[in-house]
Amino acid sequence: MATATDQLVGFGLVAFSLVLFVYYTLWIIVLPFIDSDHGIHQYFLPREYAVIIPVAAGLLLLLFIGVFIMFVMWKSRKHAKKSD
Amino acid sequence: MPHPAPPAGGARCRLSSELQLPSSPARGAAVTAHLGTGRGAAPAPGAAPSQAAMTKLAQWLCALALLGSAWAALALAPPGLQPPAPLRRALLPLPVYLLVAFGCYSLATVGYRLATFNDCEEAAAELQEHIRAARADLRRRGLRLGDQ
Repeated sequence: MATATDQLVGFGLVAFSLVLFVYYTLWIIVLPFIDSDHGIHQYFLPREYAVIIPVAAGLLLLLFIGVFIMFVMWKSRKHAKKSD
Repeated sequence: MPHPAPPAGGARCRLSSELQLPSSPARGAAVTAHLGTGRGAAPAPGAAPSQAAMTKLAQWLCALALLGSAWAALALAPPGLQPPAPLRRALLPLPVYLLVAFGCYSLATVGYRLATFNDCEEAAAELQEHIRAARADLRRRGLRLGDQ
């Protein structure tokens, strides 16, 4: 069975993604239909950040994945050279 | 990117359908083939012919192009087709929104599968039983196995 840590991390991921989805849906889909002097607008960043933040996060993720793959390949090549 | 892998876990805990122990003497060689290559020579279920894969890719590309052109047509707002301002403000970041929603779904799937990961104990016992039977069968035919 999945250990307690696994369950904690897994359900934490589920909860985080649900919260993110609801918040982003509110921000993108619902907010344009609410009057701009309504108080709910103070809980959201200006509208251009709704595009800038995901794009920046995606670029960071791609960069991280690239660095990780580079690191793993470099390490495995060093390992293979040593075993020759 | 536009080909979401099915959530892993549909095909776990299914040993008895793949590792049928051959019982008739004519298929004795199949035991060694199974033990040698692991999965045996049965075609993998995911290995579709390349033509079908192209069709799937073409389907995805077609749907993406259709959605993208519809979005572009609405977002560019030609003079004859002016959506009201709030709708237009919701429409402009829609591709990014769909991307974020897909990422949320993927993250939630990974988290859920991680939290409900299970051990396949009866499948493990079944596999051990198969290995024991195969060893006994091979030993009975005079093959000397490495251990014992």
